[in-house]
Amino acid sequence: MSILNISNLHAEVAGQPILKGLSLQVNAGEVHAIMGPNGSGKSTLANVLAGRPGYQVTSGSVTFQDMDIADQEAHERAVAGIFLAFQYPVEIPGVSNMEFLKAALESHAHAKGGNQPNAAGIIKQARELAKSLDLNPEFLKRGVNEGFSGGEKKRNEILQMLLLEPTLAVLDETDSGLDIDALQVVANGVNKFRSQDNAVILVTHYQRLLDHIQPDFVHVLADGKIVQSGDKTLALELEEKGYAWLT
Amino acid sequence: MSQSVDELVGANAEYQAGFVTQIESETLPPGLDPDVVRFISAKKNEPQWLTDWRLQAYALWREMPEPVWAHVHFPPVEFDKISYYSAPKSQADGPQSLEEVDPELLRTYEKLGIPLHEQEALAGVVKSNPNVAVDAVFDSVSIATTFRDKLAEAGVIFCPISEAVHSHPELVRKYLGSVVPQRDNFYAALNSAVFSDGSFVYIPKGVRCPMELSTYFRINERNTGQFERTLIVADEGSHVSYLEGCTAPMRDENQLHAAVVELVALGDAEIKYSTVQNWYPGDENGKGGIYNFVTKRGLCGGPRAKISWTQVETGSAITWKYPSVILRGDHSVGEFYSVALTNNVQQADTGTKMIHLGNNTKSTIISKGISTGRSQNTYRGLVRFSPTANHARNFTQCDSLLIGDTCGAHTFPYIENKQPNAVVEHEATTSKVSDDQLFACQQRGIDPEKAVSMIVNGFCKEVFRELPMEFAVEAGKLLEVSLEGAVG
Amino acid sequence: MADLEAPVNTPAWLSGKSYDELQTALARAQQSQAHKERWKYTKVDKLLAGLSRQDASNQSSCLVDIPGGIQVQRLTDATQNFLSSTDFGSLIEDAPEVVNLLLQAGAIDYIYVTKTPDACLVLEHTGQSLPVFIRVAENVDLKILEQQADTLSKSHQHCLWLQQEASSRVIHARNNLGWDQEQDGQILFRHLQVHLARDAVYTLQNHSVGAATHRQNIHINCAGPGAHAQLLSASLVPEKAHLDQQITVQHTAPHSTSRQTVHNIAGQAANVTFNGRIHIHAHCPGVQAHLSNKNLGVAQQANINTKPELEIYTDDVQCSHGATVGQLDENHLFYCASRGINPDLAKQLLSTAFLNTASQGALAETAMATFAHLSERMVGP
Repeated sequence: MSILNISNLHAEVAGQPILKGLSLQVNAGEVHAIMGPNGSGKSTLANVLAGRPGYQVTSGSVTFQDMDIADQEAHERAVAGIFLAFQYPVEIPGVSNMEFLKAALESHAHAKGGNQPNAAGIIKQARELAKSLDLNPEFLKRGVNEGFSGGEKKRNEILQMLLLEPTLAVLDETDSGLDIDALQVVANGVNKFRSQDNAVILVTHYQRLLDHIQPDFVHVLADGKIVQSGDKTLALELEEKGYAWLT
Repeated sequence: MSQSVDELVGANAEYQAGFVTQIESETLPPGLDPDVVRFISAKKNEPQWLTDWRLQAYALWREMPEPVWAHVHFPPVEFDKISYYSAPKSQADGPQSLEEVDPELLRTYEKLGIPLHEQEALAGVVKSNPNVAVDAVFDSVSIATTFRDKLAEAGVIFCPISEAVHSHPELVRKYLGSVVPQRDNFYAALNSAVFSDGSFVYIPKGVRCPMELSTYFRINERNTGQFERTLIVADEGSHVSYLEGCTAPMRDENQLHAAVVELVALGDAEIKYSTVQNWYPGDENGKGGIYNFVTKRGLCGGPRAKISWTQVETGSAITWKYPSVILRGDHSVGEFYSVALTNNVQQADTGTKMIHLGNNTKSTIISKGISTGRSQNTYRGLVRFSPTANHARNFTQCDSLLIGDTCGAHTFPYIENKQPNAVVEHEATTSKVSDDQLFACQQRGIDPEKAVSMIVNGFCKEVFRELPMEFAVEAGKLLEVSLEGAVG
Repeated sequence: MADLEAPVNTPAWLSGKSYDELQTALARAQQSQAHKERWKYTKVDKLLAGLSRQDASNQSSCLVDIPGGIQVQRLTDATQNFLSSTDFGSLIEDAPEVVNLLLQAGAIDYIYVTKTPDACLVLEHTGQSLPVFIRVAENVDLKILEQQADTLSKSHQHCLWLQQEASSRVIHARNNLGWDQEQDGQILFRHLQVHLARDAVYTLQNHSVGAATHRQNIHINCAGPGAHAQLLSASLVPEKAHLDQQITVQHTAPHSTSRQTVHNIAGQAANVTFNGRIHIHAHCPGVQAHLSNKNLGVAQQANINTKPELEIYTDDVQCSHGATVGQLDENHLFYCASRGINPDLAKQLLSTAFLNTASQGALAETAMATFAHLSERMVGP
């Protein structure tokens, strides 16, 4: 089943073209790694998929579960099942993590026409997930990402992913700035998430993460397009040779 | 009164011929009325429209109340006792040699690195040849000529405003009073009625003025200080940098200075106006100092126009000036960078106004106030966003450095926002030169005064960076001199 | 300038001055530069005209819950020599409209708290409330809860003085939520004056909603070394409503400290004014004073005036203030959207969060509930 179909995508940010004809097909049950040198457009791809304002698609198409998402706003894409784990998660003091999760879950439930989740259930689930991701459960009372270290923020992103159960999870450099232990925790979370019914796009600069999360496909993004695709061995080759040999 | 007007007009008929520097010795009796205004206009042989303009201003001035400010205290100015026209200083009255000049003044000149013959000029030393104008000492005739040629090639007009009224009347008429109208404020009205002279600059479309324009080169500069009027117009896409002032203390008997500076930047044009001014502050007790009331305003009249005001000021008994920018053109930019240092019993009430009218306009204000002695240093700013200023932005940083505990530093920023999508960020901090910092410097062999001036220089870095280079060097030295006696 | 009306009873504590003397002093004060500054954005005439002239008999005490052991004295006559030890003397110059109010009051509720009570002192404003003067003795801890009854009359004015002796600690939770959308022309006026002796600590937890005319004066004097004033204020000014806060914190003693956090949300065509003055007197080294004022505009039109002032006469101090005006952070909005939260809900959540960060204390929950309810209406399409 096709989850994501990107066809000849051109996109720009602040008038600058960044994606210059990117095509990608992601099916259910797959994990795709997107690697590339800095400035190649990796984060831009992630933001374009999530529908971030300021990112303009100039040509090409993106379909999610066979539906063109070009006209869908960010929150609509989210309840449709797209999740973005941010490279630099923001802090929102004054909105507690609990409040935030509840609002997100309620929005998802509302969109699917299902029952509203009950607060006690959310708390229980969130606390359990927190423990499994090595986060202090007391964080629920604190502001979103408030006082969190970089690693804790990334783990909070994974917690939200596990709670919201998206169909497509796009992880934007989730591994950057993590030490080996934190990396392990994050990887466990992602591995627990992946199934035959969902898909994961891992945007990463370093090969290291892929030792812990085995990708089905590895793509190299350079100068706004995918220039090479392969399997896990491509990642190892990149680590050995760098990016220069591709272009 | 009218009798003396006729007499004087008759006696100076040759003034109409051109701009020869006359060494005259007459001064009008004190007091201001329409006849005095007409007399001034006639002396300059001005066209009727300008005489009328002055008279209008005078009528408006009569109806206005004198402004009062909470933190600036001065004995009332007695407008009836000031003479509104004074011919260029008589050479015969000045000191005959440097030996007769106040040694403190000479010491300052030396510290600032001013060569001897220039010192003579600044101190008003009379030369044996009374027909040679002061400026000739610098061989300014030849300097002026070379410099004027270069400008003429580029099409830049830079001359006294009294000359421009005759050579480019359409430009003057179009822009004079377009940024600071006669009725703008009390001192602007006064200036509009009795202004003596000042610079007129016009940069044609697309021209980048090939050199920095400085009042230093302007003929008769020293004699026009009292009611100066400057007008700078940068046509579309042009660029000019203008420097005003002098680091040497300006001895001046004129108690009152009420100047007006108008800047007009059309679309894509840029005007950079820098001032380094060391007003003679009077003695330690403030006696003999100058009241400096200036209205300086720039209009960004077209899209993407830019106006920057950069100033370093020390001294002055009372300083009251608010260089402002009206940001009318979309995407236009206004900047204000200022260092104001007060010592002894000086008072400064300075600041800026940024008026955002157009979309996406941007303003930056960086103000550094340094107070020492028993002085009072006040920043007063206004940032106003009209409802039409969509997505406008302002960033303001006002910092005060206090040295000693008998001085004061005050910040009164007014932020008036009628457009919620405009963004304002304002910060102000106050600090002192700490004992720890001083001791650390001293421990490495640096004497306390040098240490203080190093720290102060560091404090002012952001502003000094905006000054044209030679000014920045002068400004640094000026601070050093002005901080003398501030520590210990 | 509105005429000051002849009071019904001139309290005898003002009897030292003839009525005419007082009128002259009041008129002169209303002409002063300082007075003009304080009333630059909100006309004092409007306020004075709107506040109904009171009969002494019409006023009631707002003290509803007085913990055991505290006596309330109703002062109407001349045993007021303690008043000279407060800042009353400067009131004519600083806030003549308040003197006018006092003249109309006819009586003052005076409380002297001599030991730490075991319950909060509760003030509830139902109608026109008598001015209250609270004196807190050395080493006493006092909690004050102040709010309005739902049946609050159309316009309301109140003065509260707090004089804290050495090492006393007061936490003052105050909700000014009496905005009623139906009540056109509702006028709210609050004057709060606090005097802190050595090591005294005062915390104000202030929550407000705009009204047709809503004016708050807050004057705090850190008058003893080690005195500390903490001010938190969260306000929501809905469509076309008004709020004008004039806050002065004076440091007249060395090593005193203060910290102010003021967050305001302005709705469509709202009118919000903030003037926060920090005044550090000469010979007060070691003072630390900080002020942060943030204003959030959530609609297309609003009028936001902010003037954080610093008046500093001593060099060895640490002082800063910051003021911002802006809208909701785009990044925050996108983060919410990326989790499926629709834009209106996101705006509401973030607006409430903005107020939450300046909100604290016993009355915070009630205030936040009101804010949440009002912001729902504010951020709608």
